[in-house]
Amino acid sequence: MRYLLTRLGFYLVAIWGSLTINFFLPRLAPGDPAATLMQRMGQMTPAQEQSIAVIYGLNKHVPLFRQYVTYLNQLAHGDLGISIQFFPSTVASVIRAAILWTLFLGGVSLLIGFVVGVSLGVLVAWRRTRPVDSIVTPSTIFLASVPYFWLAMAVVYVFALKLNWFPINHSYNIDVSPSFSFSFLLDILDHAALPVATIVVVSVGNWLITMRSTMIGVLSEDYITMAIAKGLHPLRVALSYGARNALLPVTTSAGIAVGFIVGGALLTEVVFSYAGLGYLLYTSVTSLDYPLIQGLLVIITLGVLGANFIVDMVYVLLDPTVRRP
Amino acid sequence: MPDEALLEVNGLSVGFATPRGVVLAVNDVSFTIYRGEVFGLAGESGSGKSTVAHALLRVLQGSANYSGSVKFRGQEVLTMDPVRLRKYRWADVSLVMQGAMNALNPVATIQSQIVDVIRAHTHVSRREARAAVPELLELVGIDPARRRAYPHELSGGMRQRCVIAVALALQPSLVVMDEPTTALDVVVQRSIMDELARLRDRLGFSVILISHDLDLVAERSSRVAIMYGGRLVEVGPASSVVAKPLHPYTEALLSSSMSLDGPVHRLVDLPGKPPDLIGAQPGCAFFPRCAKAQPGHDLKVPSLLEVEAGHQVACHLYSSAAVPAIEAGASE
Amino acid sequence: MKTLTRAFALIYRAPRLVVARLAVSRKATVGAALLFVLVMMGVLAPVIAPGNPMAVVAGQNLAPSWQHLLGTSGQGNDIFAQVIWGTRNSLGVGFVTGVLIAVVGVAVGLCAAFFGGVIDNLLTLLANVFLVIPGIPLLIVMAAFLPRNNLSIILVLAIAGWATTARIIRSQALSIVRRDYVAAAIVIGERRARVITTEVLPNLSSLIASVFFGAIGYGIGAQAALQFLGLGSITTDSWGSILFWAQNNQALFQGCWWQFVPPGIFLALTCAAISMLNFAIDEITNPRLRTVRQRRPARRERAALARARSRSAGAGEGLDFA
Repeated sequence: MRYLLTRLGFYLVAIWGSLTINFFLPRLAPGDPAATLMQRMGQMTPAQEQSIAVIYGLNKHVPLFRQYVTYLNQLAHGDLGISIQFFPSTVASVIRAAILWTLFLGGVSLLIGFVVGVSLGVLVAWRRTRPVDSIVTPSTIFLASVPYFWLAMAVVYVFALKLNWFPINHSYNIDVSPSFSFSFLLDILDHAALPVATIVVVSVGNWLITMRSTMIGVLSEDYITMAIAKGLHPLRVALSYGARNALLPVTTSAGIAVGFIVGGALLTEVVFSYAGLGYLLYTSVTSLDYPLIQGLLVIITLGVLGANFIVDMVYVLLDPTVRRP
Repeated sequence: MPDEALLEVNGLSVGFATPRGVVLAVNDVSFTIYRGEVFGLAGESGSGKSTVAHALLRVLQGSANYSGSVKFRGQEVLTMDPVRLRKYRWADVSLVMQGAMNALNPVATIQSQIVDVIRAHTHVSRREARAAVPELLELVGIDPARRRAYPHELSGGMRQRCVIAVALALQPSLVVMDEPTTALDVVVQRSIMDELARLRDRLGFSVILISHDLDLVAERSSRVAIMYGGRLVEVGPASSVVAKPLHPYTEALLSSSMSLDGPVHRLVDLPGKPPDLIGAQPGCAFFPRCAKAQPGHDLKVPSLLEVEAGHQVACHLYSSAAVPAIEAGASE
Repeated sequence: MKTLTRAFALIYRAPRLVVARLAVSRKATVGAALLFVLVMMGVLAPVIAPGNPMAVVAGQNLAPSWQHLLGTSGQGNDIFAQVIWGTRNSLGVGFVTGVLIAVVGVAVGLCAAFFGGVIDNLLTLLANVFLVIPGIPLLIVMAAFLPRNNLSIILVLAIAGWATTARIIRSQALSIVRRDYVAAAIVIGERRARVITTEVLPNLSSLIASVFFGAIGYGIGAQAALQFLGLGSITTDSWGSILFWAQNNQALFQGCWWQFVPPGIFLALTCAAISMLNFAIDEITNPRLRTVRQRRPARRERAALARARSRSAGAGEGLDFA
């Protein structure tokens, strides 16, 4: 319907925006990164050279607008350039290897964080005078202020190094070759436990605060009073009348929250050397692998926009005023 | 033979704790509702009428403190345990709130909001509960085909009717209606009130009709009570109160509107503003604005005294002429 | 000229109003006190930890002791000195970023709300695009191409972060601009600029304070993240850079907890303090959000309450419906 189409259109504009930023950065940045880039590349085929030239504007004689069109065209074909670190692998192939790990980590953390945070938010708003609110709310505010990567370091130190409950780093035991066996699955979960826990702990605070605020607003509405007057069970009032309505603004803000949580997940991956896009971003920054850095921006943006679109679809399901205006 | 007393309210007071002190929104209010009657409650904004309405079902916010007694068929509501309270709510007494159009859950269909209250109180299946919906909607003049609509798809008047339908779903003995027509235009007002009269004839429930519009209340009720500053200042048969208002406030209320075909009179404008409800007021709450005030009226709170048959007033002007009423409210 | 004096009068009066209101909330006082202590730490750095924090003063990876309260880093720097001096950079960059974001965000938000129409649509679209592009990757990409100094960081942070502020301001400004007194002012013939400063801005003041603090918090946190990844200034110490060196030196594996715990704690404390202040501002403007404390009333009130005391057993059904 119209709402979703409008959102889709907006996302197209957004991805175009990130591509444009990618286009102009190497051309506007001081110090001519393009030239240094070429020096650090190994021996390239003409096709590879052309690919790099388009992205980094090495064809200085070509008018800017034509460069732009060629660039967009090349990207539309999935050519994101050649990586320096992993030369001669293409950026696309490097990203492809890592993206599943991030999807797994991010997806699981998002889901758990959302469910726990929202449920706590409902609980805290429902029982507002009890000590629950005075303890839970400030503690989650504090936890939400902790930087993701720092908490990750602390968690690794305590639970992995000192207590030895979980592995220290990586997404799976690198001594073992991946397989579809049950033990490998367990191994993956074992390695994912701490990173997921880190992301969840920091993000729960955000969900809780948002849900609490909207829930408190909803609870002062007339339809809640009427629901209670109807003699309905308090659980039903809290969920079907309260939370169900409070979820709407929370869902609206979920799209933006996803962006932040993805950022946090990326940083967490760095600390855990988790084989996802975040770790890739880190190594590409330290080795100044510009093509990979830029490619990652495009792909991560695409991912976040995709998640936003899913959130939009969920919103349509939740809000009857949008479904049937 | 006196009618059966459904609801007995005795000395009901409701106080709210605020940073500035305790606000006594309802102060020592007593009345009785009988089976099948329409009892009107009139007064200006802030007089405590809505608080009384909510107190009867105990749905005021948590900072409210009750004292006194509210007995439904002999059972004390203010001390009822939660389970019994949930049974009492809606099945015995239901409430049509002020601004009822906002009292519907925006994300649930009309049907589901009727079904859930039926299933919360009886052991019928969802299908059986759904089967009861069309008839209920027809009762209030809504096309049953619209039962799967969401509140935002209906007009204000239709939503009002829906809320009334929900209020009648369990066939309660008493329906409290708080400003049922205030947010609607006059034409819809009349049709809703006529609808209500028809429903009453058919189902036989009692009504507490609350409104700031004394004319409306007087027209539709058998007995009328006037509230000011959280207290009852006059109670009596509607005809009697309108023909011969005893309390100066009631007089002022009546003279503040003009009738279309009655004699033209000067509109009275009440000076001053509604009383501050914080802290105990030493004398008559209406004293600062009363045209007939005498010195000494502000020293003691006037109690409700019976001046003529069934007609009581709380006013120092009548304190010598009356006999103290044992129980506020008497049948016609 | 008059507009300017009005604006200045507002800025002069605002802090006092804000302080008076903030004193009411417990969260606010704690947050403000915490922030004050941290700022003082940075200001008094030469007093608390004299000397150059980047100087190699002792052996590497020494545990905390009386000579080095927080131990030493992998290069032999005194961690305590680094943390104290790092306050300046972290808070400083955060503050400047906050100011920049607040100014740009408020300006854009106000323009969008006030002028409406095409301008509003364009600005909103621009803000939404910047909002939806994920922050960390954007920051990293931008920072990677720019020279490694504080100015780049501030610029990059502002570009990635102005949109949230703009959207919040616009939303509130819209509701104010639609109100009757603004329309009245315009109809009377007041110049637009004057209407903005006298009618709209004062009502936005608490929101502006709130987004300002939020922006500072964002600035501090995001800068730390960038420094952690090695993208910030390498000549000055900041909490994030300490963490960068800790990660680089494998502090975790060597068990050198003192190299990463202190900066993290200070980061968390700063952000928590700002969060508390923000929360308190929210509570002040929307009293319903307050945690309801059962206040013990004064004696006379207790007597009145006792008279009105419920004999009910308490429904205990949540929402505290009595």
